[in-house]
Amino acid sequence: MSETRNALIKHNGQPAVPPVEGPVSAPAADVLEEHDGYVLMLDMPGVLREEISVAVAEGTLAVKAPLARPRGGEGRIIHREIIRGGYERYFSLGEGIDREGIDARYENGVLTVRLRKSEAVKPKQITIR
Amino acid sequence: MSLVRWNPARDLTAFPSDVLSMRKEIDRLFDNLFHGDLADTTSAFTSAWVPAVDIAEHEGEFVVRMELPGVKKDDVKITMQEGVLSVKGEKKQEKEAKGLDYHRVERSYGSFQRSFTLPTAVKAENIDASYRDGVLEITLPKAEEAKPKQIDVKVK
Repeated sequence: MSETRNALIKHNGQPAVPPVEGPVSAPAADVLEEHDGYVLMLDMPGVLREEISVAVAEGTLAVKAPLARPRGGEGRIIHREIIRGGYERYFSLGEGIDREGIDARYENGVLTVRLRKSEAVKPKQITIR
Repeated sequence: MSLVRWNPARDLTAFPSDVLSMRKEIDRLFDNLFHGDLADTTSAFTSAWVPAVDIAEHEGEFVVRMELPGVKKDDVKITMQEGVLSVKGEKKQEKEAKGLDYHRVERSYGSFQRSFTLPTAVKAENIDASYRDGVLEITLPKAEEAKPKQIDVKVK
């Protein structure tokens, strides 16, 4: 993962897309293809919609979110399994993907990102004369 | 211009999940099977996936938080019987995913079930549950006799 981070750092030392504070884990992602685009579905429960960042920089799609604090405070944890920290995941976009018109929605803890295929690679029917 | 074979998988490559967090997931799953404290009767072998759970104790109640991304509220069933809290349900494939080709599948689907025996008695009739942004939160108020009480000790 750190090679990816380094790839996003420009010469002045600032990352192209700023990293999330604190420990992060990569959310599980399903990648699906439809006729004219791709659909990414990422399991990201427990974050605030307004704090999710989906950005494209230099051909890389970056998805980040800080973890929302549990309501009502932590109490005394007697059993812990949930991985602490925010989410961060990167996807490399090839030439066949349109950088514009990326749609993202967050529902029930799942972030769904829709990407369109660029015109050049969309399947086209060729009529036979 | 030359013709180059187009490989759709090349257009969208996901960097592999952080190996460390995958390792944590596996460790967690094995810890679950042998964890003695809470008599966690997770049926890891019979359910398709095991949702992650945190249990916190506050002065007057327990709070159980379970990560259930993509699960609909109506597909979750919570029961409390003889001191055992059970949460079961199913995560179904999203209808927008039906009929599409999968390039990568990492998320878990299917039925799940987890059961917990809490360390002290709770008032079953006052159990409250809410589901928001993929997280199920169950609040179990402690039974009166289980709440910490201040006992004044008189010094003779």
